[in-house]
Amino acid sequence: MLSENWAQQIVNVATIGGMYTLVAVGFTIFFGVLGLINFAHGEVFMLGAFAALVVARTLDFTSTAGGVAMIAAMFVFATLFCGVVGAAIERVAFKPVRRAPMLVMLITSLGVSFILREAVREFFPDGANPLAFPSPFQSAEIRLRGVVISDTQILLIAASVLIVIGLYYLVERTWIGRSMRAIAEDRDAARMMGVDVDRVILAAFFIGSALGGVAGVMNGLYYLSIRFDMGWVMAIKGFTAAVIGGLGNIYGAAAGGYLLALLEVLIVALVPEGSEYKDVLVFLVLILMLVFRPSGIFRQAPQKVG
Amino acid sequence: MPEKDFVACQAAIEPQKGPRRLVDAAIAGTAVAALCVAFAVGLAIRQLPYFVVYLAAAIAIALLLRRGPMAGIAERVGAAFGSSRPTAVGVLVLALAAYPILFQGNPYLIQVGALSAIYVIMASGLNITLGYAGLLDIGFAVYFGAGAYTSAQLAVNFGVSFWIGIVLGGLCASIFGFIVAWPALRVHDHYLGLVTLGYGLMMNLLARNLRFLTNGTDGVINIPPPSIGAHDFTRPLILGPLTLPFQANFYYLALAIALITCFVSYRLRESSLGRAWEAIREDEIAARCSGVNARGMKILAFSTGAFFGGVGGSIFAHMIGYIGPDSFTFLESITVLVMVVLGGAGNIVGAALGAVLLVIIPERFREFQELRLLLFGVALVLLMIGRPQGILPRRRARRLLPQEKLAALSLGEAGPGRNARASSDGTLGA
Repeated sequence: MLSENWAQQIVNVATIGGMYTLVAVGFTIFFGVLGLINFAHGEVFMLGAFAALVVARTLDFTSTAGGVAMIAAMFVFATLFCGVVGAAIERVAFKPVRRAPMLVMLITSLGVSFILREAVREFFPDGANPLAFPSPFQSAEIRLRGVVISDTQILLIAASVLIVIGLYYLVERTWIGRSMRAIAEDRDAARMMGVDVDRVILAAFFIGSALGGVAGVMNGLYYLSIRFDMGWVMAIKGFTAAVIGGLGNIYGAAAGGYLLALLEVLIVALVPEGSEYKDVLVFLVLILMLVFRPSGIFRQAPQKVG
Repeated sequence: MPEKDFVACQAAIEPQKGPRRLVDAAIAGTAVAALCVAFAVGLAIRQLPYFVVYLAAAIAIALLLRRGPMAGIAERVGAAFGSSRPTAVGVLVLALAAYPILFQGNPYLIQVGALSAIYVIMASGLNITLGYAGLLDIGFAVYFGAGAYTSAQLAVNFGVSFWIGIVLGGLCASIFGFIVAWPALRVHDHYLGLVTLGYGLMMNLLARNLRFLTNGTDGVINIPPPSIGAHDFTRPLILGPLTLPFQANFYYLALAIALITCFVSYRLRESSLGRAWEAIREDEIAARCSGVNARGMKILAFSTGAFFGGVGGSIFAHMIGYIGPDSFTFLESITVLVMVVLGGAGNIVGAALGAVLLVIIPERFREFQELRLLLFGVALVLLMIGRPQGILPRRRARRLLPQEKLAALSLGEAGPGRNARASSDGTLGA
């Protein structure tokens, strides 16, 4: 293998890892505040991509300036849309079963996942087939000693890094982040200390789902094709990333996303027929992590939300 | 033993006389017969709008029996069931045996009946793992697949008879249960669910890729049907003057095995094994302190549940004649899981009822092929919000000692709510 190839792989890892990270953060937040594995999160991710597609079809972009505005519009709309959908899911489906056994919540989230996926398949025009995702970019490429980075990749890498930094501020420096951490620590104690638990959980769902939506748009821009069932695979990967980092640990989830992407790229590059067994490896990592390192790769969660 | 205790203690509370026993038996028998007739009517309705009306009426009556003015009747019938279970079971078995005769003009419905019975076998299997031992398994389709592939490959490649294949299929499936039980011993609740989920997905992917074992995505085709002596299962079943469509062969086969499964599962629950599983489910530390070998019991729960999953898969493969990776996806695991939870985890009749409902109702909505999963999702959410403990939750007061039973009666039934509260704080790890 040439060293340029490796540099190229690292760029790919950064791109895919960014998406995994954003999805993983959502899983980790939901688990932190509600002790819930939200299977519907993958579908929210998918909705983000479809929301952006709607924006792209409604608006028109031809000039370069239009392209930038388009991307901004896609991200803003998908973020808000998914945030609202996530908050609505919490209110309608999860709040009534918040105190029920975890199996009940698990099945509820599966039900929501079926509803969202099938609704898109059924009611989105031509929703059952892969849909082309328009790229506002002229697909300009930057070549750096043989390493090719497309403008899409630069955007995606930059955006995911910026969002993770923004998340750090949100969790550490704002009342909402503090309340989220308090609820994750002990919901009842937080309530007694005056935290408006319902509102904070709602906000947590808004934030987590919005991040999932962002990842959905990124996925569309990167692969230029979206499908109603794209959420499921992403859910497993984002979830595995969250487990690698330690469920409930936001920074762990960020690290886990990039690590998982690295692992995938490595196995495809090194193992013959690796791409066929790539997902097997993901599941194996998931199982091994859950069994041997359930608190994640960090010995002690440095700053935990759960 | 506990059953006798219960009967004895019930006799102590309300002394029973001979006539009362007969009345109870009559009530229980009539109630079962009425339910079966109502069920058959539901199956016989061909037009969908009428079926929707029927379904709504059934739900309304069920609700009325729970809270409405008819609650007294329900209680009386419930008491009758308690004291004359053999009669109720007898009537039910008769009705089930009569089913293909009643619907002999409609082979499709008999096929659906056979499919229901197969799912009853699998739901009973998962009911042991999840309902008895409280071990969440979201990869149950693995055992289905293992059993199906084992007996199918043996039959296709080595000409092994179905009757040997089904046993080997079950055993092979329980090895798969054993494999996942070993790592699963270290994790609980969510984590256990996710380990088994990952296991299920991984095994499905392996079935797609390991071509030498499974023929990859093509699957195994032309699986020979079972036969008894010279009677091939693809030929019509001749019972005296009756000639039933060939699907009835599979129906009776699956029904017989389903009944055996339910019986074994009932005996297991009442055995020391069942009590050990229940102890682990309720409080693992306390169970260990009382000398229960939690490790071994958990492994046994996984393997036993998996065995029945494999048996179900084996029958399925020989009935359909095909098994491929698409036959045991994540959706399959979820379906079996929902069957158990919908019916009531830990309750044999509940799990069986859940399985039957979840096979038949979607079949009735075939015209809405496209919307089926959407409706399934809506139903899941509504059910979990409205009745999270399932249609027939397990009864818990039954196993109290006589004096405690008396105390429990004065305090009201200890319902499943206790369990719900016990695990509601399910926050874990991290």
